[in-house]
Amino acid sequence: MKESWDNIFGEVPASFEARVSQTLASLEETPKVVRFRFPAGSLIAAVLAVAVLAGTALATGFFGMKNLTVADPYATPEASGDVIALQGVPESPEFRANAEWMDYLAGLDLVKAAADADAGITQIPEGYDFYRVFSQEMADKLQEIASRYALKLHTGLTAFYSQQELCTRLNTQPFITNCSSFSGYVYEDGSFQGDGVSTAGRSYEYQLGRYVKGTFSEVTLNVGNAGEYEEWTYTTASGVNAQLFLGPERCVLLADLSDSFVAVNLLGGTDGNSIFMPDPVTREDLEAFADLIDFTGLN
Amino acid sequence: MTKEDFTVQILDMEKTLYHIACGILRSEADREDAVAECICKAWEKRDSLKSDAAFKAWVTRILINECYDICRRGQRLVVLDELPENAAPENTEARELRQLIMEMDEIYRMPILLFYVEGFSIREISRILQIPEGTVKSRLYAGRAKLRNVLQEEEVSV
Repeated sequence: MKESWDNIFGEVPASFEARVSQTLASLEETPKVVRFRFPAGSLIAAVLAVAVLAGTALATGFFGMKNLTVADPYATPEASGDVIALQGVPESPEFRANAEWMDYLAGLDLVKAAADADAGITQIPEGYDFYRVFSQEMADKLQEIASRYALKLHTGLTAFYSQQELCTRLNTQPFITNCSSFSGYVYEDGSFQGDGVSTAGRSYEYQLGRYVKGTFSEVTLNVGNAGEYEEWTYTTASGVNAQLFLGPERCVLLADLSDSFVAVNLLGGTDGNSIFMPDPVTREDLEAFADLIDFTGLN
Repeated sequence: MTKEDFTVQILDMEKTLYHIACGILRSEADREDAVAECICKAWEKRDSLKSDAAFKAWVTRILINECYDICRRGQRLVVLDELPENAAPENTEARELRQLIMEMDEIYRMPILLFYVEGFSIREISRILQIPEGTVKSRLYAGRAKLRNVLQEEEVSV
């Protein structure tokens, strides 16, 4: 079988090679991009702003990124970082179920569990395609947790290729403005995850997830060091209090709505070190981005 | 990065670019358009890449975005029956494997292609597809299990 992987698509057609060569030949040398750097005074102002905002956050019952961390079943000394659950506030059934499930998974040798199933030593039961279930015992544990928190399991998903296509399927209005592309997967209950690009003065590349309450989801996000984020509450243009997290390599936006929890992973941060958003993201940028989202359409 | 360096690296991964485009797009013309656009964007944004070691994963991510953009503009995902004959390998086993992979749900297909066909590491795939490493592993596992099940069923039926 191994040999087959190498030849799976056969040879590259001559027309494809010609197009690549033609494109490469047409590239022109351009001056290097000069990166903008903040003056030292701005850094001091930013530190002061963080101190003020920390107080504001506590006063508004802010739940904080560290409180959303869960165990990472695949953590290794070489690849570590804080992992957060994306389904709800810390005391919600959705969050607690995911946290318990991650604790359980972290106590297993998942590589061995997968290998055992691969070798036929254990059988993967039907109906758990969207969960890390490699045996009947794991399925039973997942069911136990889901039942205890009265949560349903995902049963299916389909792809969508535009915001309009998604909205038609969910019978809702567009919820992101200035959105040039948005595609991803929508589950049977209306939960979805998508990759998008929007513009508001600058370009934003992001992943947006909507997690319908009452369903068990095991989606998590590795945020690196959760302590490195500037965190505050922001009332968006659509009137929703969202939690904003400004980090060095990414930013996170969370909103707890009545029927769902929305989590956005913005693919750039203050370092300006992202291949998707190479210019640094500021507080103002993040708030402007939050204003692009009409949360009422996601409830 | 000089144009010469850039050209060498793109040509080194030409086969990978073709495979990724095949994994998402139906027509040969769309694949060529996607790769041409990808090369232009990678060249324009080359200064945003801080490590040459990440070049292949970076360009792959750009290409995947371009392919999805073409899908969003009205094209459809690849349908196996419509693949051109010249893309079909001679090896029967490889053709069968390709058919199974292309019929898989996309959430499994791309990790399988990137890992088994292109040799990216789980961490690289995590960055290319922007999903957690654990999710890459579970999708690889589930995808492989689906392939195995189908292959075993066919062996039995034969």
